[in-house]
Amino acid sequence: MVSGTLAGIDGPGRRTVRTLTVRRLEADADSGLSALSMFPDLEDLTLEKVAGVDLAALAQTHILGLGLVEVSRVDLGVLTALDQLQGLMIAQISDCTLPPKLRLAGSLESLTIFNDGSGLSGQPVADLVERIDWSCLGGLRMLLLRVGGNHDLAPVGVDLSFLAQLPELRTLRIEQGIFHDGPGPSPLEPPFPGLSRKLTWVRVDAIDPEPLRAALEEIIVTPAASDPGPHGVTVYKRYPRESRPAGSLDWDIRAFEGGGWGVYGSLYEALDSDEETEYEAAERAEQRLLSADAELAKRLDFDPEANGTGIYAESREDLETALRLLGLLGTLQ
Amino acid sequence: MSPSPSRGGRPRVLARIRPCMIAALSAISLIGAPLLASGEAFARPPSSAGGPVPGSNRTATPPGLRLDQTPAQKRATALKTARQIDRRKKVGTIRCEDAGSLGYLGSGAGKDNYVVYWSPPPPPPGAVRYVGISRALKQRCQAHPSARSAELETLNLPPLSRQEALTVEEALISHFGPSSETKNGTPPKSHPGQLQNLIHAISTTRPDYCTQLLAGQSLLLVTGYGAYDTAYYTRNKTCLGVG
Repeated sequence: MVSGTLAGIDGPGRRTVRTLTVRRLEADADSGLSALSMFPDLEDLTLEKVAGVDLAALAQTHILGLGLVEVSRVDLGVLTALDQLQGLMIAQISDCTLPPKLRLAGSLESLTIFNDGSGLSGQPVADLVERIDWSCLGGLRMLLLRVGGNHDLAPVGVDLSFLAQLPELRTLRIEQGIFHDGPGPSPLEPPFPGLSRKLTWVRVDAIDPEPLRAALEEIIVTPAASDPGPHGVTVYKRYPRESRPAGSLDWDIRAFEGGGWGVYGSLYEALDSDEETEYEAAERAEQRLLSADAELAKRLDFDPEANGTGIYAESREDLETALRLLGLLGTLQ
Repeated sequence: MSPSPSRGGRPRVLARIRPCMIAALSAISLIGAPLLASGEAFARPPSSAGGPVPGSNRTATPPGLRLDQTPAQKRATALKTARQIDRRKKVGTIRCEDAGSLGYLGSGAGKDNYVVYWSPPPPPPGAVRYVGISRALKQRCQAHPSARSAELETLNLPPLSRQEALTVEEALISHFGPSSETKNGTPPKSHPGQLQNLIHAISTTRPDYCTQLLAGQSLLLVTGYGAYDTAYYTRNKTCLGVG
């Protein structure tokens, strides 16, 4: 993993570097991503928390897998130059530029696109689906599209008829926040027009799940014994959006039955620090509160899990003060 | 070429990389091949365990497990500890509408009052899209989106300490996989995990990661959840119990 800048790196030395994660690359960093050309064995590249960086240097690489996670204000047109790409993951993106037609490599077998973060929307996912030239992706075997899940993002409508151009699909996961909005019938409703007949694992959602699940079971195939991965059909019930402040469930103070108040959200995400887990972020937040107001800290109860932290208190005022001290009140609601 | 300032004024440890630093960087995750084979990780002395598991206020190593034990010793110790934990009365499979029934576990920190939950529960295993832990399930149910709370169910485990619950949570996350992570040993950016969880409960870069994982997997095994005791998403870190 490299953080901040690639300046000063003149190659991997005697090591064989096949996997590399570059985090928090700065827009004004010396040489940007050009140092990547000195990693001839690089196969799997992930760019995380990158904003306003010129990605053109990616065209000089021969990577097989690319992950763009928490990326904003970049031109994704360079993706058309990655002609050996087999796997692509685009997650948590905003304000990115797309060409009118995004022609991805015909070698692509796995494509993941999702947005599920505070302050994000599903529109970049819809834009990508609209701009991708699906006719180039006849060999695609896995497709995952998602909007929201952890966060209450507004669902987006996309024309799902492109699925008819993906006859080799084995795994299809369009499981949340995306619905069919096109002139023709949905390929995700019986008789599933154009949908791959090689599917072994399907995860979708529906207002009335059971009839759709039964119908999908009719067309799904048993995976080869050599494929031990998940298989089968899951149709989740689609719920209406929460009647809560727009954009996020995070840090929404609520009263509990029987007394007490609580909030829940990802401190790992909100504090945007160098911690690697929610538990580390929660510990840092607790320490910050202890330093700022030890008496208040004693009245708070932290209940973290991997994806977020519940904070409980007897009074709403204590929670508001805590969120204010952590810089969370008024910014995410 | 001075280090770039970071937010909050904290120095950015890896802000500027020079060729001479490549070797040190490789110990994090730069190199494609697994960097810490199980034997290497276990060979570290206890003093290099990396400190307490963040937020747990407990020692890093689960009771009885030591980093200098052989893999066979570690497995035996982890199973013994898990069987002892399994003597506690189990919580049952509780859904959100019945979360109030867990009130007997008590509230507050420092108790064996944690439950582990998933949403939705299997079968099929491929349906699971979230795992978490809590010692205030009723409140946690109110915090999650409806789609998650409506299908949430606890695993039928004994009530756990925070340390114990954390290891089970990680065992499940490493089994099902965060959606932004690729399955070990598969082509780049293929086979993303099935969970909406975005990150691990325990960092895979911790020297004691394998020990923690083994403790959680052992608990799953002895409590009847052996189908989920193999890890497939560990960022290519190799441990006992990684498939």
